[in-house]
Amino acid sequence: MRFEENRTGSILAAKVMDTRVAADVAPKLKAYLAEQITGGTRCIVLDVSDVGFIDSSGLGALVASLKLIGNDGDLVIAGAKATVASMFKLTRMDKVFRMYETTEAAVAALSKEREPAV
Amino acid sequence: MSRFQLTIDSTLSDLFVVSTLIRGVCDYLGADPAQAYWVELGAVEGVTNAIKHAYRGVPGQQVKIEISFVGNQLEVCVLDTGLKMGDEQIERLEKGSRVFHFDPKCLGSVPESGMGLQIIRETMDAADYSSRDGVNCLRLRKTLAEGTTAANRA
Repeated sequence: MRFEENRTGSILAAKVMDTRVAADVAPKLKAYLAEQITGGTRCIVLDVSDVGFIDSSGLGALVASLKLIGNDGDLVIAGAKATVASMFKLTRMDKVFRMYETTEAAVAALSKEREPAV
Repeated sequence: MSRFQLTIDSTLSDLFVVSTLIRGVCDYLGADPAQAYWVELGAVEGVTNAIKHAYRGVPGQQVKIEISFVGNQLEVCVLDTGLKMGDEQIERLEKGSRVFHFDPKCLGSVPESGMGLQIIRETMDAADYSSRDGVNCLRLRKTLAEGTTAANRA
């Protein structure tokens, strides 16, 4: 699996460059996110705008990663196509993951949350 | 009736071939993207189960995928000669499970696995499992929308 990374402050925007996230590559997605999280990244925007297909193994990798990041971090989804979004809805994972239309919207929202209180 | 067959090795790296075939047939039949997605998903989940559970992830065995359609009725069969699905899994396929009845606020209750059969149950119009003479068959059926090309084919 390939990822394109951009960092805005402490926020990592990682774009999945593959069109499929299925059982054959889900372990690689999980390993990549685990490496980022254990390496200290606590705020991740996963851009799936190029992903046309995700199966239950792909969702499972995301859930495992969300559990790993824990309560003091964020793993949000950006750019889900209609079919991918429908998979999140079918499995009720749209209630578990915050989903944004674009990476920019996700980064803006997370940045605002991380602004120090005045 | 039109029928296509594909045989792959029991290795997950061949999954993309299954996806490609299913998408190709659905495109040919003029299925809308949403329906095509569910058919592809059902087939991929079925094949993944065959590889991971029937064959315990051991490569070198065969998984056969048969796709057939009559009019707008599409049928996908996933066949293997590995371990038969257990009674609990068959019941989950036939009667459903509560795998998606989790509390989204309680991350510990959100499943990381075991979702495939329920996904098949919720996205296919019909799904059944049989085992005869050492061959296990997961059969999935979907009626495509009236406007699809499939409705015009014999």
